Amino acid sequence: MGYLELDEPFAGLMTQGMVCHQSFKDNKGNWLFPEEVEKQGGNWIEKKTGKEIVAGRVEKMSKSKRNVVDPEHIIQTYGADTARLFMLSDSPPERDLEWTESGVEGAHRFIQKIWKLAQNTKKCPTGFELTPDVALTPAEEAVIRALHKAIEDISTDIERFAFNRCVAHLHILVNSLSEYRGTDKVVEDIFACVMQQFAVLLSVFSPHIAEEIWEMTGGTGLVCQTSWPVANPHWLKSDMVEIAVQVNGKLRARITLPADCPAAEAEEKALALEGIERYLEGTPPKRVIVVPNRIINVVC
Amino acid sequence: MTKLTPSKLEAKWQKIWAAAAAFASTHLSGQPKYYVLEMFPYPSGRIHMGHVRNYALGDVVARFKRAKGFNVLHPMGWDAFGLPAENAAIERNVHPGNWTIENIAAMRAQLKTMGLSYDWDREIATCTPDYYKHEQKMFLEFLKAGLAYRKESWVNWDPVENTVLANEQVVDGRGWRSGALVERRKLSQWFLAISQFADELLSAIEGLDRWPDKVRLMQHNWIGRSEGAELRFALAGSDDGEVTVFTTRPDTLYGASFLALSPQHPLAAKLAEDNQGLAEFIAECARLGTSEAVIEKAEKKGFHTGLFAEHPLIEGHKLPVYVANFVLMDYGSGAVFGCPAHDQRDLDFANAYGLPVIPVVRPKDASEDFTVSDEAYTGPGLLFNSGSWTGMDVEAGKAAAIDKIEEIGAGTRKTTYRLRDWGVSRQRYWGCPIPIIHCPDCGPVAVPEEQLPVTLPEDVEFDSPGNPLDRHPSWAKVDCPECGKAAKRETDTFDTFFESSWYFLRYTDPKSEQAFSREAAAYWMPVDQYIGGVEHAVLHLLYSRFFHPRPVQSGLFRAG
Repeated sequence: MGYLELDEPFAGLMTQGMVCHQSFKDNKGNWLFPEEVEKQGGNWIEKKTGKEIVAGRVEKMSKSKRNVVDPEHIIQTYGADTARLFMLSDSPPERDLEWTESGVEGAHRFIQKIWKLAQNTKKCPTGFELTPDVALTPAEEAVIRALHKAIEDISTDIERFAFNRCVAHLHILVNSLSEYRGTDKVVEDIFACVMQQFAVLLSVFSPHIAEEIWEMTGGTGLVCQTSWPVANPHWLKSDMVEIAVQVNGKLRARITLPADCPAAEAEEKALALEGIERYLEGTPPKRVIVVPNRIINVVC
Repeated sequence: MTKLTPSKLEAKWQKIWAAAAAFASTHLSGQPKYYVLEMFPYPSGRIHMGHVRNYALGDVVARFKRAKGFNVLHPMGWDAFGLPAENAAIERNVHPGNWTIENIAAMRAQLKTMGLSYDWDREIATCTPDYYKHEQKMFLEFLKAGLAYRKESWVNWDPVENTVLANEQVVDGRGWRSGALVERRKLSQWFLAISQFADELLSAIEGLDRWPDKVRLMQHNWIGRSEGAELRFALAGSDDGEVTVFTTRPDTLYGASFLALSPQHPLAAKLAEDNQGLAEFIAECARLGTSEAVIEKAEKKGFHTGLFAEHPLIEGHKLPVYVANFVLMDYGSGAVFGCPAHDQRDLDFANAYGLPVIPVVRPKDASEDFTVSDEAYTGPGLLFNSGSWTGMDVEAGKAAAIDKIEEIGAGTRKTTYRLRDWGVSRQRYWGCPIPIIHCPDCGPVAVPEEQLPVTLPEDVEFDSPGNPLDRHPSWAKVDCPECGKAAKRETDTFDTFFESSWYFLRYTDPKSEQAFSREAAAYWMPVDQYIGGVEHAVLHLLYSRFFHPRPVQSGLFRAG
């Protein structure tokens, strides 16, 4: 035959884990559906009879063991955006996933939080761009940094199938947006534009609500046909970093400084720390060694 | 605040996406392509959470790649032939076709509520003649190329469902659906010669660097290449009687203490003619089925045939010949020599039947009085008690042993594979008809191309067990295309893995008059990201890998 090179049909393969659920049996050994049971005071009971039942293992959903949850019911109750988000959020794709009511409700609360946050958002002005030379308040800078960090992290993790981490990054960004919303002077244009970019990130996980936010914020066309955002390195670079402060080689304190903080500034701030001052007993140190972004060692 | 009503909001956007044909794709594009595919579902009637997870994962990839500027192919369809439709027909008195079509409609509607970014214009259902007619042509091309053939072979027979089961469909010796004890039967069936490609399929695994390691290992083990020797043992007290065994451990030959034949070995059958006890033992083994997993787990049992074989290297040393339940007929030559000290199975057997345990490999730090009792020693080490091979390590011993065997004319070097040819015949109605006519004079004849496709008759009854195609009053009655005499259609249908072995090609141009168009397949293939359950990590992926290069590279299927 002589086919020297096999041209393979599937260049990349991902095998996802199973969806699991706890199984339940009544005292006669009959399997029960999850909706037939509830927990009362630490014990599982059958709702209909009030009788105590046996809660079994968390195992692959199967009709025969009745440990199944019907997707249609879930989608009708919570929406596809919630169902999809929960499916992606709890475990890496290759691992088994335990379906829990509390997990779905958690995802649903997140979707509702997003919805609430997006209400009354203005349209993002065309051509609006947040360049580093614009003077910003710390609150404004924080939310913009959070956006770019999310873009960067999600772009990386999505390529690695770490979708659960991607959802965690979305949470961080939403928290940051909430915090900004709660400040005194919200610049609506900034809020709208961060929200709009957030909609693009959200659109691959929970696409419907993402379209709604995209439209609300004045996005052109459909979010599902929009280009993926690119993180601006400027907003990524000077994140804050936590640095260990040692006195004579022993860890005595920690300090949070902007990344790449100049050595002189780092030294000054480290020496002013309460935990360090008392070791100096009023005398200036012999030497201060600053390893940028890593360690400050005070020799006295 | 506007209240969030997901069902309303989601339906709204799903309608907008559909109207905008937002997820349509064409191979006539200057953009780089990205083909993301989730394993297509069997239309059981309702989607389950496993589907939701699978498709949610795929949709993240599809939407992300689209946003990154790729021209994305993201299709969906239905693996629509199979047993459950026939079971429904039996239980509910509905036609399998109607049952399937209704299930597809219900599941399509469910999937649409998920908002998945599929190009629905490419939807396929494998049970339509538009789809399966292409695989009838493929099969005839395989036949012409000598890659499809007919063979009597041992099968797992489910006496309740009246069908052959794949080894994977036998669970603990019982049919996976019926739960009935599986029997062994011999049946004439169609095979595809996948084992001819064992080496290519094996070596190409190395290049699959975006596959999970565990799946690559499973493919590797399934193909199961072993280097070893074929070795002939003369039967004592017979002029020409001999038994050929295959071994991957010729270095342990000095430790041989018995020979074991598969219960299906021709010699076993011959001996059983005059030996009631042996015949009963063989019948007992048949009830184990052909599943290797079951055979592996079963208690090791044997029956002494009364014959002895001569050890090829030790003058006067005679080995008892058993029939044993753990020897597989379709691996190697259906017979093995037992070296209990260095094989756990052989050791269990030897201990049960009081056979000698002669260690011939010792760990490097052990002395020459190294012994084995309950646990076989299978690790590396030095040969001892082994004539001129004493002192060699295992690898050197293997080479020396093969040289010696060849020198004395007792055998030859040989590579074997665990991979078997693919039996594609199923005694079922709801599958693609195998396009063959059986003529009493001409034998099996291909259905002429102008008579294709061979479609399933609609008027079938499911009121009694077995294949309704066999009972149909007229469907199978045809004239032989060669001699014109009354002949009979093949009533078996294809294993449904046939459909799933090429559906990813059909998606690239689902309306093509041919199985697929060369141009579209060249643009879209390979699938960049395939997503599905690990339960398909062996057969489906292996069969797809077997199919793929042939249609695309050899033009075997005459893609348009």
